[in-house]
Amino acid sequence: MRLLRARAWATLAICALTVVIGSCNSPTVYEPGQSTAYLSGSGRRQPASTVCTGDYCKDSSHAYYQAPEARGLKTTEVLGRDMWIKATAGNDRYHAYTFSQRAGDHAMNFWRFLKGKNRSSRFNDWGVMNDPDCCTPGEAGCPATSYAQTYGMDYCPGDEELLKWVGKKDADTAYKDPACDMPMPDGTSVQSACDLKFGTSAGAVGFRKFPNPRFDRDKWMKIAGNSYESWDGYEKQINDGSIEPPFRFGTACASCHVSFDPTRPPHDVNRPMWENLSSTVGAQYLYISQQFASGFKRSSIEFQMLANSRPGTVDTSAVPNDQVHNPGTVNAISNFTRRPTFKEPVNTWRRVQSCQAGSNEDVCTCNPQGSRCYNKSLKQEDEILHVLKGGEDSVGKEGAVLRVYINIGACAEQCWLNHLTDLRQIDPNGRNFGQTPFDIGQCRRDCPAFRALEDRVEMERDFLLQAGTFDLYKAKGYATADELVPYIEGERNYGAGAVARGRRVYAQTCARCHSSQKDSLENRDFLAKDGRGKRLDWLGSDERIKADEVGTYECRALHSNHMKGHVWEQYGSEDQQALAEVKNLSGPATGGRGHYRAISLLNVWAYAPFMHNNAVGPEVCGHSQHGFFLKVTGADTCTEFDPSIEGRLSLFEKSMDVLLNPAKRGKKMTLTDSDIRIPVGPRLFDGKGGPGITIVIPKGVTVSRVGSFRHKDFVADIAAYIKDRLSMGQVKASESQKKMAYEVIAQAVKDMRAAQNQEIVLNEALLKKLGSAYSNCTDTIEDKGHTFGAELDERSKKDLTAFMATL
Amino acid sequence: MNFISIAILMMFGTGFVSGFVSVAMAQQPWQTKQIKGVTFVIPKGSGYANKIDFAELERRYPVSKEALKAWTQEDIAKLGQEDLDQLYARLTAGPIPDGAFFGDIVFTKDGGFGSMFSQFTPNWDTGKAAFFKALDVFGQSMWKGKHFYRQEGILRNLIADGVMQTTAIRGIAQFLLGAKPDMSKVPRSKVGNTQYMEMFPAKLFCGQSLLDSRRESIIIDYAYGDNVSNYVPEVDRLATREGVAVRDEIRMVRPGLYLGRAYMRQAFGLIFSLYNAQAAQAGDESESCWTGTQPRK
Repeated sequence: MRLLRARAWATLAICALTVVIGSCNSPTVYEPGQSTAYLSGSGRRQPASTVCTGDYCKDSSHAYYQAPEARGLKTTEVLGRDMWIKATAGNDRYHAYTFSQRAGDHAMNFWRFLKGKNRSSRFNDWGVMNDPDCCTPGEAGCPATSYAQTYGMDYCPGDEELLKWVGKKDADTAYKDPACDMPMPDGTSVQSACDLKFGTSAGAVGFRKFPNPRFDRDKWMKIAGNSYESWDGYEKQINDGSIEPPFRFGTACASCHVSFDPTRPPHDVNRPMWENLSSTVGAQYLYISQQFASGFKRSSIEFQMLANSRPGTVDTSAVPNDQVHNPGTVNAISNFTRRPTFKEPVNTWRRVQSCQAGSNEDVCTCNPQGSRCYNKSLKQEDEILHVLKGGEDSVGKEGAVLRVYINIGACAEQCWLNHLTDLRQIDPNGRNFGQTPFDIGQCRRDCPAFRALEDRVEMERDFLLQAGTFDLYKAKGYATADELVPYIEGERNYGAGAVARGRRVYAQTCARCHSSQKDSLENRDFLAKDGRGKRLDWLGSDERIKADEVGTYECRALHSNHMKGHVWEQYGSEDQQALAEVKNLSGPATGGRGHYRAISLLNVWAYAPFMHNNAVGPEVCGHSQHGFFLKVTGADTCTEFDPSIEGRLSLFEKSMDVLLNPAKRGKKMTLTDSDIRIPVGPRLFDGKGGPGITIVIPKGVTVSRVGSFRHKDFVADIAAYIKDRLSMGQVKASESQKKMAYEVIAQAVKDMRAAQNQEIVLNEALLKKLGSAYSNCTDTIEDKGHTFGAELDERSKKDLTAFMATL
Repeated sequence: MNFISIAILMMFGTGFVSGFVSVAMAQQPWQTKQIKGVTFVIPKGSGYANKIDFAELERRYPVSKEALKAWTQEDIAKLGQEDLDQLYARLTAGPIPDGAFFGDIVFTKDGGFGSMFSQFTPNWDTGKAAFFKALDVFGQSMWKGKHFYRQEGILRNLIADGVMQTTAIRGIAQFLLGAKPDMSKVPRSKVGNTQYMEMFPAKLFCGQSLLDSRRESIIIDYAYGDNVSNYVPEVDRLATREGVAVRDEIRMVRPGLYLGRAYMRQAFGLIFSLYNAQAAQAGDESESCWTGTQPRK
């Protein structure tokens, strides 16, 4: 490892020398974009002919391509990895405009975590993986000598060209995106690779930047106090859409999936090398939700709903909002060739040789090149994966990959946003009162980026399918899993024979759900490998299990976006959508809702804390500088991020203890950490005069009560009640719900008058009362359930823990 | 949005529409109707899910620029909310306007504040019609249009400069803001021979449509109006982020004629149209904003 690191530094030093020599004539006063070549061609890298040829391959001998996860990949898999790590498919527009303007006063402030001056603490503060190929302007070897050249950002490969285009009106069309050179190995004529839109790294892996053609240098200098590098003025009025920053930022899949390789942790968490990173392991430390909320006001309902999520979790149905508060983890993509598959009928698009002339394009379409055609039909599929927490995205591997691109903003404007709920629309007849289904055929037809992705999705799929495991024995430097046993039983004090005994406990207690083999449980070798050294058991059945049987926090299981008529209808199998209602849950559970799939426990030693919301085990956190510590009842402290092998093992052991001893759990509930203030009339000055009113939800209420509240039904019932009263009609007994809704508000208004202020206060008690009628999920305890194993004696629990560390 | 907000809108006015369409059964799965050369799709029933998706609408029934050449503000004022939405979705932003444009408000009963009002009130059709008519008359007497300053990237609204109007504005400012504005501080401009007050300054830029995401609209954002010159806080603050955060968006129907949508705190309020005869004559059909990737045929 040291040798590799030394080699990498030597490479950088050579680059730097080349740069210094080559830049003798550079002006001494730097402007943005003025710099010299960095890590680009110049004979420093030898193209690897096995990967590809031409411009695109100039970096193929670089550490990025020599990282452990890249070794031995086929050409198509190498390209698939590039897509995974770099392709944004145009979601920079989504992050720059859609997210901020459609949500209203809620911009995502990328600058807050990508500013160059944060590089030395970016992991600690945000859980972000610094890009090893970027550097800090002014540091030895970095081609950029000052932040004024980079607008305050890290300097990254390709910036020499990209920076020239900042503020150029034709940047969107004339700047040659690095993706343009990506070859199509089989030579098929397909949608241009330019539409994959790589841009250049924004300093952190998976985060990309693009030159903003609408950047106005004069305006910028005016608000920034005559400084190219300062974004202070911009941050102060980030919601003013007339002021645009130098860059638009995009996110590739890796932004949420990259983290430290558990078997190769870095010496310095803020200076990782490519060998320390895995782009498939899952960003388990990332403050994803907080990044999305980074430009929000803390007192907004959107901030409190979104940002109060644990590191490594995000509510992926926050933007395609289903009014269920359900942040979940980013799972590791690991050993997928052994992941269980299912036979399910799926109504979706499938590749066909051609479409007949004049065929209905609602069911058969080809790309403009005519090289790829797709037909939509209902058919039984033999190899369906259950991808999301409840087994959703059950339409095939390629479909699942493509849907995630849409959910992070690719083709959002062309295909997605018109199908989402407008939370302010209260007329059931009005457009966007609720969701309508995203149409894959329409998106293929109207969005070039979708076609660019779809034409190449097999390459990305193949890269993901080959991703391996992160076994503890490898992390500890042993040659086999057997060699790990003395370490577990001896050094970690589990005692002789613990692992073997633990295997039996696992077979009896866990393997029913957490194994993918089919033979007798007793005889199963959970660590077996095939001839190529790949693990045979995925250690999860992926079967959909009723959430009341698992007993864990229910809200994620009540996610509704994959139901018929909802936005992701075309990404749910017919079987899933026809699942019977699950009763006894804390919200509506029809149409496929109400389940959790039995997940994989491969390398579970590396992924604590547990459960889909990271709630079972100690709370973990980064530094406090950004103020994103969660306020959680039953958890007064948090364990600071420690990605070392010992750190992960320690967290695993503590989490296992809590898992197997439910009495030790804290009954965790995440609470809002600020008053939520929702103005419903003109804001008044100094609280004096005028009739403006603010709804206030006091700090300290349970987040899920706010996030799962169906406010439209609530408003509709109040409206209906008022209508009845105005019509002199009698409110029927069966409509007591409407009456209750009205009375709650009437009382709150009465209290407001008594307090002689203009605040309607909805406290926890009122929210609880309303939740009984208007919540999609009334569950509040986040670390409950999954009590399997609690009945074991202490010895068996220790044995089970010892064995599971080897998985 | 509450009744107070609706009251604020009185300055913008209202107007009801009456039907003037012929219904025809099409071969397609949708029923359609023709209005002045443009095909509109009739929803399959009540409820949001029974309306045609805009991308499908544009694919099946595109609207050419030629088809809209004879459209007027009066034609727009006769449309219902769904038809207005379908028309808007098939437009592009066109060039950011420059100069003074005269305005007309379209206050539909089945969209924006009209439908919000209907949610809470019984079916007093006659009473509601009278109420909205009164709003319309009042609003039209106050609001006359918008003055675009394209180079500066700003805009101000044209308000009639008379005793009745200044008295009314003072009253509204006092009622809603507790302020006593000195109306002499409000900037004035002349359009033709008529003098107008220029109020409620806004920023002007290309941005997201809150109705149809497939292509950009021209955004008129009042939230940061306090950063615009000649801002008079005692009245202008009403439209900013300190007030009700008004945000308009417009797309071009034909050169000189724009269709607009007004929002308050992101909640849709009403439709308006803008017209400038000189711009109509100039015939500029350029595009200032992102036109999306689904081609307009």
